[in-house]
Order: sequence, then C-alpha cells, then structure tokens
Amino acid sequence: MVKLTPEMKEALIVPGKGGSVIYLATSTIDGKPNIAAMRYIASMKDDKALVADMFLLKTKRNLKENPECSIIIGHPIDSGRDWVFKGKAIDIEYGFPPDFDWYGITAKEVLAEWGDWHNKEPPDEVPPDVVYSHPAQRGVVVLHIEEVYSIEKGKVGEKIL
Amino acid sequence: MAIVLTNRMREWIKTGCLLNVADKNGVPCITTARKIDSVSDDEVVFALTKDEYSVIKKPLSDNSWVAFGILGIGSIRFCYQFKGKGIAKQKGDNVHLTVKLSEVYCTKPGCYAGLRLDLKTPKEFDEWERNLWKDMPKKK
Repeated sequence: MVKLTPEMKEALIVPGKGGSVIYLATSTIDGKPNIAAMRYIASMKDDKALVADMFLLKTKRNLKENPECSIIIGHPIDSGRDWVFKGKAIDIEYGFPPDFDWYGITAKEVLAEWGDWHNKEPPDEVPPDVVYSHPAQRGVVVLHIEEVYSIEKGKVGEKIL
Repeated sequence: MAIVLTNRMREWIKTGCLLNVADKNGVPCITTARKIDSVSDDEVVFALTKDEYSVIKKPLSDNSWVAFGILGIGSIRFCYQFKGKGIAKQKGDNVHLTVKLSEVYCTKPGCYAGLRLDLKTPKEFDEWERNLWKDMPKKK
C-alpha cells in the first residue's frame, strides 16, 4: 500500500498555493491514450489524488470504460517533484450514492469537501489569457494511487513507491 | 485534413514533452521527451534517452498510439494535445521516436476545451491559433 510523502502532498495542491500543474493521463480500453493538463488538484488521506471534473471530455469517457490512470507533475519540472502517480480512478459525479466507496473514501466526503472547487480555490494565479469564466463542475476524479514513478532526468521510470 | 503545425506550436514542442503510450491492457505509460530532434509540418521526432525509452518500449511494441503535451510552463501557456502513431529507431545513444501526427486538440480550459483542430484547413488552423495566443516560448 502506497503512503504519499509530505513532499508529494505539498505538490498535489493547486499552483496558486505552491502546488503544481498536473497532467491527467488515461486511455480507451483498446489503448488510445489521452493526456491533458489540469489545475484543480488535491490529495486526500495517504493514497488518493483528486482532480476536478470541469472540462473533461475524453478523460471522462475513458474513465467510464477503463479506470487505469496516471497523474503527472507537469509544472514545475526539475524541482524535485518529478513524479508519476499511477493507479485506478473514477469520476465521482453528482448523483453518486453518498455511501459509494472508492478504495476507502466515500462520494459524500469527496463531494462535500471538493464539490465546489472553483469557489474553494479560485484560479487567481491563472494568467488573464488562460483564465476562464465560472466553470460548471460535474464531479471529482479520484485516483487511488498504487505506485509512484520518477520522471526525473536520468531516472525516468524508476519506481519510488 | 493535412496537419501543418504553426511556428508557435513547433517552438513550444521543442521545449520538451510528456508522452503517454498505453499498453495492450489500456494502462497509461508515461515518459518524458526532453530532447526533440526535429519538428516538421505533421511529424515530431523525439530523441529519447535510454531511461525515457525504457518506459514505453514494451507498450509501443503492442500499440503505436502516442499522445503528448508540453512539459513545464508550456503546460499552462501551450494548451494543446497531440496524437499520432509512433515508430522507434535506435540512433546513436538515443532512440528516435517519430510520431506522425493525426489529431490535434485544444485543451485550453473553457469553451474550447476538447476542440479538435486537425479538421481545420492549415490556414484556418493558423488563424485560429493566432487569434487565441500571442506568446512564444523563451529560448532555453
């Protein structure tokens, strides 16, 4: 069982609070990959990473048929945060039964804390030509982390946890 | 429609990329491509180091699809995703992964998120980007 380090948890917060821009990587069940950058990121307990479902299209479709997923620190790089978090993810959307359980956390606790992410952590640090109008959040992607790998220069692919 | 990458796209891609190749079971395998050998209209050649290639060697042998975005500040300033089929060849100390692009998506948050751009003509494609973005990456 993976236990995220304090440094990893510090990296898995929104960029405006000293965290990171992350990439969410998924695949169709027959292997067509997808990778997209995201801003709303958090960790929960010792082995979960959360990402807001705001503009997800193919990521959302992929997770409906294939839970295999990775979250990667995309920015900053070469800063000691060169990690890939790998595991199984689900998009916990509004309407899930409150007691729905994903590897030890429930839909109720995820949506209660992170279901209105834009207001909880507004994108104040996002440049004016990238920032967007108030998005409609549809849920929260929850990654149950099973392994952590390095993408550090010279050590790409080395298992860390 | 034929893809003709814009000058801005070429410059950002050259700053380094993050690649996703899925294995035959649909498990994403992630590696970096910090060195780019060349970028042409619709083809990117990544010069992968041994460790970078080791992550995708096996999955790539079963499944040639490659999706990639940009590492670092480009993940914010260059909101695109590229997809295509890749072929790897040893070249000196590196492995050159040539990806023939077939799909380009906008990933800018908001109303354009997920918009497929390779269906535009090269002229439309270029104009679309010029209207949305102005900046070029800083030279390394």
